[in-house]
Amino acid sequence: MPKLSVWMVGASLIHMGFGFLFGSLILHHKGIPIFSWTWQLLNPHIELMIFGWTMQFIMGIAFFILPRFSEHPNRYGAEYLGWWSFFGINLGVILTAISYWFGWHDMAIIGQFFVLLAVVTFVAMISPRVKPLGSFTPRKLT
Amino acid sequence: MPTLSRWFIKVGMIYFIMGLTMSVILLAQPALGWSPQLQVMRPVYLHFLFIGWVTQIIMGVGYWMFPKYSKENPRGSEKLGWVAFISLNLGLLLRGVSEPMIIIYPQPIWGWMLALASMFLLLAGWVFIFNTWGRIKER
Repeated sequence: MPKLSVWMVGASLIHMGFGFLFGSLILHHKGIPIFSWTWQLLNPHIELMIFGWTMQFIMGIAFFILPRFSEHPNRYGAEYLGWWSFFGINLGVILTAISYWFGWHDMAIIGQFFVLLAVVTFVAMISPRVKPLGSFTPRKLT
Repeated sequence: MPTLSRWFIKVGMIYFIMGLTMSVILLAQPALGWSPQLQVMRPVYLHFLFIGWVTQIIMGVGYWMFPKYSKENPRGSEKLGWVAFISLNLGLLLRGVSEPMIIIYPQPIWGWMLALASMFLLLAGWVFIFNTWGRIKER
């Protein structure tokens, strides 16, 4: 598994761990109330589970398993874009989740914008690899 | 494919069908004049699709295909894998029954069942992460 995939999948598992914790607290609170602030975890829970966990996990695995440019030194494509995407999605998800918790609506928009930028960057990096095995290699991948 | 992965994926498909069935019922309810109480299924429907199907199939395929943990123990602990599988599905089933019931017939028993479901689901998620973490590595 390439280093970027290791970081993306690892980070997605951390988001999943917090997402499950928040969801578990909310579900418990529905049955037996625990803390007055528990419902504030709902939007952070959704953000972590959808973008932090599932989307990022899929991105990490896609970088790992999509066809590579075997005859090119940059076998995985423009990997630096993938790293920008990794930092962007994690910054965005964490910023959005914290903003939801504190009720900072404007900051949540900025966080979600980071997520959008991260996804656009990832798509730009990964789309040349959506190809038949052994076919076309872009001239410039750096 | 290991037995545990087959269980994860096959049970995941059952949740997929149940989740989509619920979505049809939820959408048809106002149009067909069925009881509005059916809308209490909404959170269960979302979690059957997202946890029962998507997360569960990731767990099953991940257990099967992630890089090997070691030569002797390629998939980490199989026992922990089964703990994750059983607690995830117990949690989802308990939730599937008690989450609508606590709204329709508010009784303490449903509250306790929901609390129990929350613990099973948390256990499943954390055990899966613990068992998978060592396999997320460069080859």
